[in-house]
Amino acid sequence: MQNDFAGMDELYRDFILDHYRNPRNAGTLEKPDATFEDNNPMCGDKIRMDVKLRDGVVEDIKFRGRGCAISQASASLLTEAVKGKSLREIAAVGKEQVLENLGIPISAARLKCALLGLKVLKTALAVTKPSEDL
Amino acid sequence: MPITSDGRLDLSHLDELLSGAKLFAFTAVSNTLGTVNPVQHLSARARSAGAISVVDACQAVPRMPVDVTQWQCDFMAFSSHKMLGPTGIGVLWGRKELLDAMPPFLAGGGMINVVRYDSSTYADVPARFEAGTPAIAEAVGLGVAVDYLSAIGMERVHAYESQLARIALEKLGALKNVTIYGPGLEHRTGVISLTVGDIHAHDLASILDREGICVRAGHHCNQPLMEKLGVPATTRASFYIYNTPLEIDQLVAGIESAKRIFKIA
Repeated sequence: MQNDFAGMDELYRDFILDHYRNPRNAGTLEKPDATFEDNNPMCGDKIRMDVKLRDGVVEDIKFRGRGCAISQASASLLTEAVKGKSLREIAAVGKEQVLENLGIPISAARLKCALLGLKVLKTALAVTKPSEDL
Repeated sequence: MPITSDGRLDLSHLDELLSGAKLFAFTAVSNTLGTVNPVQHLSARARSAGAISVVDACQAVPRMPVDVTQWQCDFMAFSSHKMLGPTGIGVLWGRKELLDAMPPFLAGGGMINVVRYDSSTYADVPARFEAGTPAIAEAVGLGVAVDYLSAIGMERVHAYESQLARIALEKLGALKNVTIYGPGLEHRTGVISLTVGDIHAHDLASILDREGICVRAGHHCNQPLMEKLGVPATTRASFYIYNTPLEIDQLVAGIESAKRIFKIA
């Protein structure tokens, strides 16, 4: 059965599966400057992010989680996108950029999966003590 | 309550669990594993321990003949929307003497007898517990659903679903990298939870959805059980009287296409 939506091969493109099975920046950091863990209670997706900051810039970032391909690939892509970026630049990262990084059509039902990583990162950075650079 | 490795209730420590218990609540049929529990036995065990038994019959009432006088339970509840009826309504059955002894917990229209400045008396059961305007349309809809299922006959509903379950377990069980949870056919219904390789339940559900197959994916409001099974979530196919054996083949094909997309053998 076909419909007007993008085909499944497009939704689960190879690079999404690659990020799911071989997540970039996977793991945890010793003594992170910012850390947070959260989950989507409805589906059980879980992500933790550890961030090391230097002079208001993300020097290192690691994430650990479990969940669907969309949530884990999205978090993996996000860590790549924000490494080396300043807190100011990261503050400007929103839903649109995350969806653009994924580059695949995300249905309303899967939006929470795609955005969990961003939510965790934003929360981690929000609770960290403000750097003097900001 | 602990469960056995094949997803049945482990009753070996039930006496200890029931010692001092005031109320014993259990499900007649597991919404996650499809396991059919021995309700009559469990109610009797509750009774001899001095506990009130409360049976969640949401999965049982739609799919098998249910007789509360045979179950000998104290309370039993089920939902309309699981038995072809509308959402937002369900049924609570309770022993009359227990209901009579219970005070109302919601106040509103229709649940009083006489109201004075200094005292009130309440209507008889069940009106006492049904304050306010009832869900009239939903109750009518549920009544029609009951008539519809009764006309088919619950024995036939049960037999047909068991037949679908047998075919599904056989065909799904033959697939590589597909894990089916729950007991064998003699202890279960057509509620079948499974996982496929390392595909997350939500990814599998999305793929099946695009093939026109409707399944439930997630932890089924049963996170401790998911932890015990060692999976974050499962995908559940819930067969009912409107399903056909052909749709089982479509489910099998959908799972095969998910495996292809995720490059699983």
